[in-house]
Amino acid sequence: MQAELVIELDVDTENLPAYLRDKIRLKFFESVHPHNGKVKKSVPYLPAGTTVTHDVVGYIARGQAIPADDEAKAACGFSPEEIAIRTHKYRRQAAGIWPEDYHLFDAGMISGYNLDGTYRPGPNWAAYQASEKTAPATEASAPI
Amino acid sequence: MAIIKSKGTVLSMSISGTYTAISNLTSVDISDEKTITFGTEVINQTDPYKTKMSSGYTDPPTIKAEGFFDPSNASWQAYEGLLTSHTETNFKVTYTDSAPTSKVYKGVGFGLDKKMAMTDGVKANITIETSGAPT
Repeated sequence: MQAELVIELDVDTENLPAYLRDKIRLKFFESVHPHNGKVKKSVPYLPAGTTVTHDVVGYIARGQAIPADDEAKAACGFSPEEIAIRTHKYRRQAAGIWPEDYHLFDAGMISGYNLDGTYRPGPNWAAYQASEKTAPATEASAPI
Repeated sequence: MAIIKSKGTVLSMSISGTYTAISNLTSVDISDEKTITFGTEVINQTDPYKTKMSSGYTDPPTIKAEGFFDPSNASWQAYEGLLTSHTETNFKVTYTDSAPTSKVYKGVGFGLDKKMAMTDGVKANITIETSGAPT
């Protein structure tokens, strides 16, 4: 029974099953060490598209993978629509989207946040900008 | 020095060897990481100030997170399962800086409080006691 990851997943190397060890890839970033200056650090991950054969139903239920064979489809019991909703929700979780912005991510308007907390544009960013321009001006509250 | 925004911070737990983000969180608190000292004042000292020395040990942090609880969500179900299984589980906090920087904590004690109030969504508070140095 197999499932295919739809999103890259950071790896807990201590607890990863042995069959996936050679599938690990690294993403590098620069960090500043207080004594050594700039240092290169790495984070292990499994790329999207990796096939998993353990906890198959779990990965599908969490929205991290789709069934890769008929056995997985039958075991998980989700319809294609339910799987699409789960994978969308997981992408939202993994992007760190906070509940107040769920509707913006769901509409494809944002894909995450920039360093300064502003929205990172999504595929439908133009709709967000157009909505901002046409939104009615807020009226001041009438005095009590 | 950059000021990092909180929005976008992700708390993930290790499930089946990969990290799964916990959904619907509204805050993450990592506290009580502190070096342990002991008093070195002696009875015959004249200085009124107590003195201290490092013991060489550090208390690992406790992670607390609050969020909207969804009992049907797989990540919340997995966390709830730890209350029964007591399985040591790694948790990762990923910040929103340019790297992005992340830290892994070994969770050894777990708590889950739930609250349902009339004017709010169903909320849960997670408490994770950690062991050893974050990596």
